[in-house]
Amino acid sequence: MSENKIIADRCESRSFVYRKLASLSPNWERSNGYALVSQISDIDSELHCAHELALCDLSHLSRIGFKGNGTNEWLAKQNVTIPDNINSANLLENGCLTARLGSNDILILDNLREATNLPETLKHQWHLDYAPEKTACGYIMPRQDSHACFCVTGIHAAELFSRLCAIDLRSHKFANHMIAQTSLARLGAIIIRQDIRDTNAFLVLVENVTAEYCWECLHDAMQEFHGQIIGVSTLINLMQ
Amino acid sequence: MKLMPCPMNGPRNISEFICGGEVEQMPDPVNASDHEWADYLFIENNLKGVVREWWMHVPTSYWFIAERNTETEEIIKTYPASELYRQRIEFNK
Repeated sequence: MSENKIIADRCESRSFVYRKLASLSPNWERSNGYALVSQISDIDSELHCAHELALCDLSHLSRIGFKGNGTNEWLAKQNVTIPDNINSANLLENGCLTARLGSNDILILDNLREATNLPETLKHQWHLDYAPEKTACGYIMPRQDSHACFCVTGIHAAELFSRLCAIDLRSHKFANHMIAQTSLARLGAIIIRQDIRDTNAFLVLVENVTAEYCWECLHDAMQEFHGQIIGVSTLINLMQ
Repeated sequence: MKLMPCPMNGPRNISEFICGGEVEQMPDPVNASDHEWADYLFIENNLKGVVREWWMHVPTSYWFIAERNTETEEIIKTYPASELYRQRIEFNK
Protein backbone atom coordinates (compact mmCIF):
# COMPACT_ATOMS: atom_id res chain seq x y z
CA MET A 1 0.00 0.00 0.00
CA SER A 2 1.46 3.34 -1.00
CA GLU A 3 1.95 6.30 1.34
CA ASN A 4 -0.74 8.17 -0.60
CA LYS A 5 -3.28 5.41 -0.12
CA ILE A 6 -2.62 5.29 3.61
CA ILE A 7 -3.30 9.03 3.94
CA ALA A 8 -6.53 8.74 1.92
CA ASP A 9 -7.74 5.85 4.04
CA ARG A 10 -7.18 7.86 7.21
CA CYS A 11 -9.34 10.80 6.19
CA GLU A 12 -12.75 11.23 7.81
CA SER A 13 -14.51 11.79 4.49
CA ARG A 14 -14.04 10.28 1.08
CA SER A 15 -15.64 10.72 -2.31
CA PHE A 16 -18.69 8.75 -3.41
CA VAL A 17 -16.45 7.42 -6.19
CA TYR A 18 -13.43 6.87 -3.94
CA ARG A 19 -12.82 3.28 -5.04
CA LYS A 20 -12.95 4.21 -8.71
CA LEU A 21 -10.46 7.02 -8.08
CA ALA A 22 -8.23 4.82 -5.93
CA SER A 23 -7.91 2.32 -8.78
CA LEU A 24 -6.11 5.07 -10.77
CA SER A 25 -3.37 5.36 -8.10
CA PRO A 26 -3.65 9.15 -7.95
CA ASN A 27 -1.97 11.71 -5.72
CA TRP A 28 -4.22 12.29 -2.74
CA GLU A 29 -4.56 15.49 -0.82
CA ARG A 30 -6.26 16.16 2.48
CA SER A 31 -8.64 19.11 2.62
CA ASN A 32 -10.77 19.72 5.71
CA GLY A 33 -10.53 16.03 6.55
CA TYR A 34 -11.59 15.07 3.04
CA ALA A 35 -9.46 12.86 0.81
CA LEU A 36 -9.46 14.40 -2.64
CA VAL A 37 -7.53 13.56 -5.77
CA SER A 38 -5.14 16.39 -6.51
CA GLN A 39 -3.58 14.91 -9.64
CA ILE A 40 -3.42 11.66 -11.57
CA SER A 41 -0.84 12.23 -14.30
CA ASP A 42 1.51 15.16 -14.99
CA ILE A 43 0.05 18.65 -14.90
CA ASP A 44 0.71 19.53 -18.57
CA SER A 45 -1.04 16.43 -19.80
CA GLU A 46 -3.99 17.00 -17.44
CA LEU A 47 -4.28 20.64 -18.51
CA HIS A 48 -4.33 19.53 -22.14
CA CYS A 49 -7.12 17.07 -21.30
CA ALA A 50 -9.05 19.75 -19.42
CA HIS A 51 -9.16 21.80 -22.63
CA GLU A 52 -10.18 18.79 -24.74
CA LEU A 53 -12.34 16.61 -22.48
CA ALA A 54 -11.86 15.73 -18.84
CA LEU A 55 -13.81 14.50 -15.85
CA CYS A 56 -13.01 15.59 -12.31
CA ASP A 57 -14.57 14.56 -9.01
CA LEU A 58 -15.62 17.57 -6.92
CA SER A 59 -17.56 15.69 -4.26
CA HIS A 60 -15.49 17.44 -1.59
CA LEU A 61 -16.76 20.86 -2.72
CA SER A 62 -18.76 22.38 0.11
CA ARG A 63 -22.43 22.89 -0.82
CA ILE A 64 -25.85 23.30 0.71
CA GLY A 65 -29.41 23.88 -0.42
CA PHE A 66 -32.40 25.75 0.96
CA LYS A 67 -35.96 25.22 -0.13
CA GLY A 68 -39.50 26.25 0.73
CA ASN A 69 -41.44 29.37 1.61
CA GLY A 70 -39.30 32.21 2.91
CA THR A 71 -36.04 30.81 1.49
CA ASN A 72 -35.36 33.64 -0.95
CA GLU A 73 -36.11 36.37 1.58
CA TRP A 74 -33.97 34.71 4.23
CA LEU A 75 -31.03 34.25 1.83
CA ALA A 76 -31.33 37.89 0.72
CA LYS A 77 -30.91 38.88 4.37
CA GLN A 78 -27.68 36.86 4.40
CA ASN A 79 -26.44 38.89 1.39
CA VAL A 80 -26.79 35.95 -0.97
CA THR A 81 -27.89 37.18 -4.39
CA ILE A 82 -30.37 34.81 -5.95
CA PRO A 83 -30.62 34.48 -9.76
CA ASP A 84 -33.72 36.14 -11.21
CA ASN A 85 -34.76 33.12 -13.23
CA ILE A 86 -35.33 29.47 -12.37
CA ASN A 87 -32.71 27.16 -13.90
CA SER A 88 -30.00 29.77 -13.87
CA ALA A 89 -27.00 30.43 -11.66
CA ASN A 90 -24.85 33.37 -10.69
CA LEU A 91 -21.47 33.95 -9.15
CA LEU A 92 -21.25 35.83 -5.88
CA GLU A 93 -18.44 38.30 -5.28
CA ASN A 94 -16.65 35.75 -3.10
CA GLY A 95 -16.64 33.21 -5.95
CA CYS A 96 -19.46 31.02 -4.57
CA LEU A 97 -22.10 29.87 -7.02
CA THR A 98 -25.83 30.17 -6.34
CA ALA A 99 -28.08 28.04 -8.48
CA ARG A 100 -31.84 28.54 -8.61
CA LEU A 101 -33.45 25.13 -9.10
CA GLY A 102 -37.04 26.20 -8.42
CA SER A 103 -38.91 29.33 -7.36
CA ASN A 104 -37.89 28.68 -3.73
CA ASP A 105 -35.15 26.10 -4.22
CA ILE A 106 -31.57 27.36 -4.05
CA LEU A 107 -28.29 25.46 -4.21
CA ILE A 108 -25.08 27.12 -3.04
CA LEU A 109 -21.63 25.83 -3.96
CA ASP A 110 -18.44 27.09 -2.39
CA ASN A 111 -15.57 28.66 -4.30
CA LEU A 112 -13.36 25.81 -5.51
CA ARG A 113 -10.22 27.93 -5.70
CA GLU A 114 -10.49 29.54 -2.30
CA ALA A 115 -12.93 28.05 0.21
CA THR A 116 -15.15 30.65 1.88
CA ASN A 117 -17.13 28.22 4.05
CA LEU A 118 -20.28 30.10 3.08
CA PRO A 119 -22.39 26.89 3.04
CA GLU A 120 -21.33 26.08 6.64
CA THR A 121 -21.90 29.68 7.75
CA LEU A 122 -25.40 29.68 6.23
CA LYS A 123 -26.19 26.32 7.79
CA HIS A 124 -25.18 27.61 11.21
CA GLN A 125 -27.18 30.83 10.76
CA TRP A 126 -30.24 28.95 9.52
CA HIS A 127 -30.33 26.85 12.69
CA LEU A 128 -30.19 30.05 14.73
CA ASP A 129 -32.96 31.72 12.71
CA TYR A 130 -35.28 28.75 12.23
CA ALA A 131 -38.57 29.58 13.92
CA PRO A 132 -41.50 28.51 11.72
CA GLU A 133 -44.07 29.95 14.11
CA LYS A 134 -42.57 33.42 13.63
CA THR A 135 -41.07 33.73 10.18
CA ALA A 136 -40.63 31.29 7.33
CA CYS A 137 -37.03 30.66 6.29
CA GLY A 138 -37.47 27.46 4.31
CA TYR A 139 -35.66 24.27 5.21
CA ILE A 140 -32.20 22.87 4.62
CA MET A 141 -31.38 20.50 1.76
CA PRO A 142 -28.25 18.56 2.75
CA ARG A 143 -26.74 18.56 -0.73
CA GLN A 144 -23.25 17.74 0.57
CA ASP A 145 -24.33 14.28 1.68
CA SER A 146 -27.16 13.66 -0.74
CA HIS A 147 -25.43 14.53 -4.01
CA ALA A 148 -22.12 13.74 -5.67
CA CYS A 149 -20.57 16.56 -7.66
CA PHE A 150 -18.49 16.09 -10.81
CA CYS A 151 -17.06 18.51 -13.33
CA VAL A 152 -16.81 17.86 -17.06
CA THR A 153 -14.57 20.26 -18.98
CA GLY A 154 -13.39 20.78 -22.53
CA ILE A 155 -14.43 21.51 -26.07
CA HIS A 156 -16.01 18.06 -26.44
CA ALA A 157 -18.08 18.33 -23.26
CA ALA A 158 -21.35 19.17 -25.03
CA GLU A 159 -20.80 16.30 -27.46
CA LEU A 160 -20.20 13.95 -24.55
CA PHE A 161 -23.49 15.01 -22.95
CA SER A 162 -25.32 14.49 -26.24
CA ARG A 163 -24.57 10.76 -25.81
CA LEU A 164 -26.20 10.69 -22.39
CA CYS A 165 -28.97 13.29 -22.21
CA ALA A 166 -31.54 14.93 -24.45
CA ILE A 167 -30.75 18.57 -23.72
CA ASP A 168 -28.64 20.46 -26.23
CA LEU A 169 -25.73 21.80 -24.17
CA ARG A 170 -23.74 23.31 -27.03
CA SER A 171 -22.42 26.79 -26.26
CA HIS A 172 -24.73 28.64 -28.65
CA LYS A 173 -27.80 26.89 -27.20
CA PHE A 174 -26.91 26.66 -23.54
CA ALA A 175 -25.30 29.82 -22.18
CA ASN A 176 -22.89 30.03 -19.29
CA HIS A 177 -24.69 29.75 -15.92
CA MET A 178 -27.73 28.02 -17.39
CA ILE A 179 -29.00 24.93 -15.57
CA ALA A 180 -30.62 21.77 -16.94
CA GLN A 181 -32.36 19.47 -14.52
CA THR A 182 -32.85 16.42 -16.64
CA SER A 183 -32.16 12.72 -17.15
CA LEU A 184 -28.50 11.90 -17.60
CA ALA A 185 -27.95 8.24 -18.48
CA ARG A 186 -31.52 7.72 -17.19
CA LEU A 187 -30.68 9.32 -13.85
CA GLY A 188 -32.03 12.56 -12.50
CA ALA A 189 -29.19 15.09 -12.65
CA ILE A 190 -28.52 18.79 -12.20
CA ILE A 191 -26.20 20.13 -14.89
CA ILE A 192 -24.83 23.66 -14.44
CA ARG A 193 -22.69 25.32 -17.08
CA GLN A 194 -19.92 27.05 -15.20
CA ASP A 195 -17.10 27.85 -17.61
CA ILE A 196 -13.58 28.07 -16.24
CA ARG A 197 -12.05 31.07 -17.98
CA ASP A 198 -12.14 30.12 -21.69
CA THR A 199 -12.79 26.44 -21.11
CA ASN A 200 -16.29 24.97 -21.28
CA ALA A 201 -17.17 23.37 -18.00
CA PHE A 202 -20.27 21.73 -16.55
CA LEU A 203 -20.97 20.80 -12.97
CA VAL A 204 -22.96 17.60 -12.66
CA LEU A 205 -24.77 16.78 -9.44
CA VAL A 206 -26.39 13.38 -9.04
CA GLU A 207 -27.85 11.56 -6.06
CA ASN A 208 -25.15 9.84 -4.04
CA VAL A 209 -26.51 6.31 -4.56
CA THR A 210 -26.15 6.73 -8.31
CA ALA A 211 -22.71 8.37 -8.17
CA GLU A 212 -20.63 5.35 -9.21
CA TYR A 213 -22.99 4.47 -12.04
CA CYS A 214 -23.03 8.06 -13.33
CA TRP A 215 -19.24 8.31 -13.05
CA GLU A 216 -18.89 5.09 -15.05
CA CYS A 217 -21.34 6.28 -17.72
CA LEU A 218 -19.50 9.60 -18.11
CA HIS A 219 -16.14 7.86 -18.17
CA ASP A 220 -17.33 5.32 -20.71
CA ALA A 221 -18.85 7.97 -23.01
CA MET A 222 -15.63 10.01 -22.76
CA GLN A 223 -13.59 7.26 -24.41
CA GLU A 224 -15.02 8.20 -27.81
CA PHE A 225 -13.33 11.61 -27.46
CA HIS A 226 -10.20 10.36 -25.66
CA GLY A 227 -11.24 12.11 -22.46
CA GLN A 228 -9.35 11.57 -19.21
CA ILE A 229 -9.98 11.79 -15.49
CA ILE A 230 -8.08 14.67 -13.91
CA GLY A 231 -7.36 15.91 -10.39
CA VAL A 232 -8.72 18.91 -8.52
CA SER A 233 -5.43 20.84 -8.58
CA THR A 234 -5.56 20.83 -12.39
CA LEU A 235 -8.98 22.45 -12.32
CA ILE A 236 -7.72 25.06 -9.88
CA ASN A 237 -4.71 25.60 -12.14
CA LEU A 238 -7.09 26.16 -15.02
CA MET A 239 -8.76 28.97 -13.07
CA GLN A 240 -5.54 30.93 -12.69
CA MET B 1 -39.77 10.74 -28.62
CA LYS B 2 -42.90 12.51 -27.48
CA LEU B 3 -42.34 15.85 -25.76
CA MET B 4 -44.11 17.27 -22.72
CA PRO B 5 -43.83 21.02 -22.06
CA CYS B 6 -42.94 21.30 -18.38
CA PRO B 7 -44.05 24.70 -17.01
CA MET B 8 -40.75 25.03 -15.12
CA ASN B 9 -38.16 23.24 -17.26
CA GLY B 10 -39.50 23.63 -20.78
CA PRO B 11 -40.05 20.84 -23.34
CA ARG B 12 -38.64 17.50 -22.19
CA ASN B 13 -38.85 13.87 -23.28
CA ILE B 14 -42.00 12.21 -21.99
CA SER B 15 -39.76 9.60 -20.31
CA GLU B 16 -38.78 12.30 -17.77
CA PHE B 17 -42.35 12.45 -16.46
CA ILE B 18 -44.82 10.33 -14.55
CA CYS B 19 -48.55 10.77 -14.46
CA GLY B 20 -50.16 11.21 -11.05
CA GLY B 21 -53.76 10.65 -12.09
CA GLU B 22 -56.78 12.84 -12.58
CA VAL B 23 -57.22 16.17 -10.87
CA GLU B 24 -60.26 15.77 -8.65
CA GLN B 25 -61.98 17.89 -6.08
CA MET B 26 -60.95 16.57 -2.66
CA PRO B 27 -63.93 15.70 -0.45
CA ASP B 28 -63.96 17.06 3.09
CA PRO B 29 -61.47 14.68 4.81
CA VAL B 30 -63.35 14.85 8.12
CA ASN B 31 -66.91 14.32 6.93
CA ALA B 32 -66.40 12.21 3.78
CA SER B 33 -67.68 8.62 3.83
CA ASP B 34 -65.22 5.75 3.27
CA HIS B 35 -66.72 5.28 -0.17
CA GLU B 36 -66.23 8.94 -1.12
CA TRP B 37 -62.64 8.93 0.18
CA ALA B 38 -61.76 5.65 -1.59
CA ASP B 39 -63.32 7.03 -4.77
CA TYR B 40 -61.15 10.14 -4.48
CA LEU B 41 -57.95 8.18 -3.84
CA PHE B 42 -58.25 5.13 -6.07
CA ILE B 43 -61.03 5.27 -8.66
CA GLU B 44 -60.18 6.74 -12.05
CA ASN B 45 -62.88 8.02 -14.39
CA ASN B 46 -60.85 7.00 -17.47
CA LEU B 47 -62.61 9.46 -19.70
CA LYS B 48 -62.23 9.51 -23.46
CA GLY B 49 -61.47 13.07 -24.53
CA VAL B 50 -59.88 16.03 -22.77
CA VAL B 51 -58.81 15.30 -19.19
CA ARG B 52 -56.98 17.29 -16.52
CA GLU B 53 -54.19 15.34 -14.81
CA TRP B 54 -51.35 15.66 -12.31
CA TRP B 55 -47.92 15.14 -13.86
CA MET B 56 -44.48 15.24 -12.32
CA HIS B 57 -41.11 16.07 -13.88
CA VAL B 58 -39.05 13.41 -12.13
CA PRO B 59 -35.54 15.00 -12.13
CA THR B 60 -36.92 18.05 -10.33
CA SER B 61 -39.86 16.41 -8.47
CA TYR B 62 -41.95 19.25 -9.86
CA TRP B 63 -45.71 18.60 -9.90
CA PHE B 64 -47.91 20.46 -12.34
CA ILE B 65 -51.19 20.07 -14.18
CA ALA B 66 -51.61 18.98 -17.79
CA GLU B 67 -54.68 18.97 -19.96
CA ARG B 68 -54.52 16.34 -22.68
CA ASN B 69 -56.77 14.48 -25.04
CA THR B 70 -56.78 10.75 -24.24
CA GLU B 71 -58.17 9.99 -27.68
CA THR B 72 -55.65 11.85 -29.83
CA GLU B 73 -52.76 11.83 -27.27
CA GLU B 74 -52.41 15.59 -27.82
CA ILE B 75 -51.13 17.63 -24.88
CA ILE B 76 -53.28 20.75 -24.93
CA LYS B 77 -51.63 22.77 -22.17
CA THR B 78 -49.62 22.50 -18.98
CA TYR B 79 -49.50 24.92 -16.06
CA PRO B 80 -48.33 25.19 -12.44
CA ALA B 81 -50.63 23.72 -9.79
CA SER B 82 -50.68 27.14 -8.14
CA GLU B 83 -53.09 28.28 -10.88
CA LEU B 84 -55.71 25.93 -9.44
CA TYR B 85 -54.70 25.72 -5.80
CA ARG B 86 -54.06 29.14 -4.34
CA GLN B 87 -53.86 28.32 -0.67
CA ARG B 88 -52.53 25.62 1.58
CA ILE B 89 -54.97 22.96 2.75
CA GLU B 90 -54.88 22.40 6.50
CA PHE B 91 -55.98 18.89 7.52
CA ASN B 92 -56.04 19.42 11.26
CA LYS B 93 -58.82 21.99 11.38
